[in-house]
Order: sequence, then C-alpha cells, then structure tokens
Amino acid sequence: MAIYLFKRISSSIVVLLGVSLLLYCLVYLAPSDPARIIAAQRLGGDVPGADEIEWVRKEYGLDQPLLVQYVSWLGRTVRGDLGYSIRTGNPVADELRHAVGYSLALAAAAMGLVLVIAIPAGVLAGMHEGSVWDRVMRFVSATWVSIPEFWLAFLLIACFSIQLRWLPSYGAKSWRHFILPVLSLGLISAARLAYLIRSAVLEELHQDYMRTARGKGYSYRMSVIRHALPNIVAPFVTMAAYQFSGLASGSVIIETLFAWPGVGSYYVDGIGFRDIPVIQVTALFFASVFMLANCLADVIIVMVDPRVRME
Amino acid sequence: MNVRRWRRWACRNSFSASGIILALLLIIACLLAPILAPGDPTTIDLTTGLQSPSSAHWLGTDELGREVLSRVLWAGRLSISTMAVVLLCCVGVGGAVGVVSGYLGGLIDNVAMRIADFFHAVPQLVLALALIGVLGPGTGSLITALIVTGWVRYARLVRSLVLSEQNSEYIVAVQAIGATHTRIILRHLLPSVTGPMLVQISLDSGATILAIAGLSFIGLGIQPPTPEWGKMLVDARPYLGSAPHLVLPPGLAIFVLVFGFNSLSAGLEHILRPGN
Repeated sequence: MAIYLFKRISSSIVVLLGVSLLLYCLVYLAPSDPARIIAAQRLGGDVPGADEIEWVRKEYGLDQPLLVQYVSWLGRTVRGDLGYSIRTGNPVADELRHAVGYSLALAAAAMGLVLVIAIPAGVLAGMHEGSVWDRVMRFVSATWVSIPEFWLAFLLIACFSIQLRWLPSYGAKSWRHFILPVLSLGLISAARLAYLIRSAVLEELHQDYMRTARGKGYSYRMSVIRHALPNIVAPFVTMAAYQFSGLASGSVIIETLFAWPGVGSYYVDGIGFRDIPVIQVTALFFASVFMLANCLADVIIVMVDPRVRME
Repeated sequence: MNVRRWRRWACRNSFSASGIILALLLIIACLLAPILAPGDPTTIDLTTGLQSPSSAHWLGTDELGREVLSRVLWAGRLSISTMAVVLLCCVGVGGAVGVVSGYLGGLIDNVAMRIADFFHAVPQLVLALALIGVLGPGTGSLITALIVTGWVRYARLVRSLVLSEQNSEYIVAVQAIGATHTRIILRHLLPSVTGPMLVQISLDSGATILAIAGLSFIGLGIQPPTPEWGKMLVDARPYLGSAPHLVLPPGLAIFVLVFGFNSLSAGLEHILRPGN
C-alpha cells in the first residue's frame, strides 16, 4: 500500500514537472518578443523604446538561457512566489487564492448535483434494463451530452432570469447567484455520468456471482445492493474523478458567461490580455487539480477494492 | 462496412439513426452555403435589424440586420471545415507517432509516451486556451491549439492497438517473409486499426465542434465579423428575452451536429464489435 502510494504520487510529480516545462516553453512559441509585450503593457499602450525593452529583458531574466529561466521560475513557483500579473500589477498568488474559493464552491456544488442525480438515475436504469425508466434515462442522457453547456446556460437564463425573474444571471453575491451556474455545469455532466453508471451496473449484473446470489435466495434488489454495487465502486470513482476534471474545464466557459469571479474567468481574462504569468500559473493550477483528482481516485480504489490491491 | 448490420442497428435505434441523417443534411446544407444562403452573412443593414422570422427572412435578422439563416449556414461551413482540418492533422500526427512508437518500442516509444503524458495531464480546453493566450486569438491559433492538444489521444490509441496486433501470427508471418517495416506498418498494421479509429474520430468530431463554438463563445476562437455559432450566441445575449430566433438556431445547429456524431460513433462501435 505504502509502496503503491509512493509510486503513484512520485509519478504524478514527474508528470506535473513535465507539464510545467511544457507550459513554460509555450512562451517561446509567441510570434512576438515577450519582453516587448511586457514593456508595452507596462507603458499602458505606448510603443516601448529599445532601452525599455532591454531593461525588461534584464529585469525579468529573459536574457538568460531557457533552462536557467525555467529552473528559477519553477523554484519561485514551488515556494509560492507566483510572480505579478502584467494586467493588474498584483501578485498572482493573491489573485488566484481569491478566485480558487469561488471556483471550489461552484465545483463542489455542481459535483454534488451530479452525484445526486447520476447515481440513482444510473443504478435504477441499469437494474431495470429495457423498462420505461431505462429508456427515458437513455434518451435524456444521449441528448443532453450533445447540448453545449453555454447554450443550456442561455436557455436557463432566458427562462429563470428574464421570463420568471426568479434568479440573477450574473455575479456572485448570494446563494441565489449559485443556482444557474451550478445547473448549467452539473446537468450535462450528470447525464454523462448516469449513462456510464448504467453500463457499469449492467456489466456486473451479467456476472456469475449475481446468479449465485439469486440462487441463494437473495431478492433481486438485495443482490444488487449487496453484491453488484460494491463491485462498481472502482469504475465509479474513476468516472467521477474524470467528470470532476470535466467540470474544471467546463467552468472556464460557464464562469465567464455568469461573470463568476473564479479561476476559469480569471484564466480567460489573463488570456485575453496575454498576461503570461497568469496564463502559466493558472494552467498549471488546472493541471494540478486534474492530477490530484485522478491520484485521489486511484488511492480510493486501492482502499476499497481488494482486487486492485492484489495487483 | 456492412449495410445489413447498419440497417438492423438503425431499426433498433431509430432516434440515433434519425440524428445521423439530420446531421448529414445539416452538413450538406452548410457546405452548400454559397448556393443556399439567401444573402450575404456579413452585410450590415440597420434598417432591417432584429426582425422576427418571416417569408422574406426565414430565420429573421440579427441586431445589425444580417440574415440569421445565412449566418448559421456560413458559420457551419467554417466550423465543419475547421473541424475537418483539425481532425485530419490530429489523426495524421497522432497516428504516425502511435504506429512508430508502438512498432519500434524502446527509447523512441518511451520518450514519445512521456511527452504524450504531459499533454494528457492537462484538460484539452485548458491547454488549448494557454496556447491561444500566447499566440493571440484567431482562426489560425484556434486550429493550431486544437491540433497541438488533440494528437495525443490518437497517438495513445494507435499505439495500444499496434501493441495488441503486433504479436499476432499474421504479423509474425509477414515479418518472416522479410517484409520491410514500412510495408508492415502501411499494409498490415494500419488497416487493422481503422475501426476503433473511426469510432474515436466520430466522437472527437462532436467534441471539436463543441470546442470551436466554446472558444469562440468566450471571444478566443474565430473572430468577428466572420460568422460563428458560439459567437452568434454571445452576440444574442442582450436579446435573450426578446428575440429567441437569435438564440435557438445556432444552439440547435451545434446540438444536431454533435448529437449526429455521437450517434454515429455509437453505431460504429456497435457494428464493429466482433460477434455482432
């Protein structure tokens, strides 16, 4: 167990280092000189002179070789010094910390909604394959996964903010501001997860141990609860972690749409302004969350599923 | 491809089948936009702004008096061709990396797959956005970003398929006759991976359409005045309550295409599954 954990975490760290290098190298893809961009933005739109560009190049260490720059950037990032936003001049660490709270609240609420809908819907549909409920569920999930989330958000806004005037359509001031973004983010993920759960349940129902359980006299429902469901925990955790990462990227669009002050809209603002420190750090943040979710999922699986432990 | 199997699948899944046909019709209509579109999609005429659908303007006009129907069709033409370019490049690059890496193994395989891990560790949209942030928004950046972030899936898929095929008797047999690596890869390995590839390509077609629309929606994809579905939706936001004819057509068009591609991928998967 301890060995597995160590291996899993160290391989995640290696991948994260690779991602950070990848993101750092991105800057060098820029068609224009980063020193020129930074100098121009510091001057607020004026055309920078050659000596100003040189000053920025020295000040930001852009005259050093790529690897030296990367290592010093990585060192500062690991110690929590995430640099300064070019757009606002504030420390990226402070701005990001502020945004993370909002995003976590949104993601947690959306994930809660996803689980509350997807688990019962998927399990019931799987248990009663071919029933009316199963067919309705399959129809709804097949259509919902094809709906763009920003269009769903628009339809929800048109209905609940404009026609009924019940809920606000942007901002993050009260709990009522939560509802529409959470629905827009959660409903589509829920449909996708419900369908996956249904397939996982169906697969278990055709296993031999289910026939044995029925033969011993368990009722259908009891045999599902006692035998099939514990066996789908492992695939379920993997799928849920994957959906959580999906929520992270979905939040980029949904947060922008609802003017939600989270990491997603912070990222988009940074991109619109070519705020390179913000782009690098925020993308690395998304990657870390993604890695953490997958890592956690694997640890949970090892803990709950003895079959995986044996390998 | 077996026509009888398709027919049987379509009879049992009539809803999915009709989704495929609807998407096909939409694709044809969009590709024929220069012929079918009733007017120019970018000509501004403020005297006819925000008109509801009528016999003169089938889907009405937007706030600048532009034909919504023309804009939907032209936008579709651009989205579909962008998607085709992106996927073609992803399949080409990813497929090449996957085949070489799976077939040769060793150091090349190790290096290629570690690089693929780094790309795979970041959600595609997030990495694509980072690239667009550096390159600056625009159609070129959009295509580059989607290719750079999209090839990995194909590399991994093709590699795993090649690995599982590699030790089959028929490959060992052609190796024994002395066939060259290139011949084995092109004539024997590639044909065996086309089925699962088609399923993945079909699934990714929908996802790519969604990504193009989503990135344009937040202003970082295709730039105005070129019509684009996501962009049309953002522009319609102030008229959400008053002009549903601006909100429904672009969203429905995205939905129909994505649903069609998802259904196609489900159908392909069913038909290609051995033992059916």
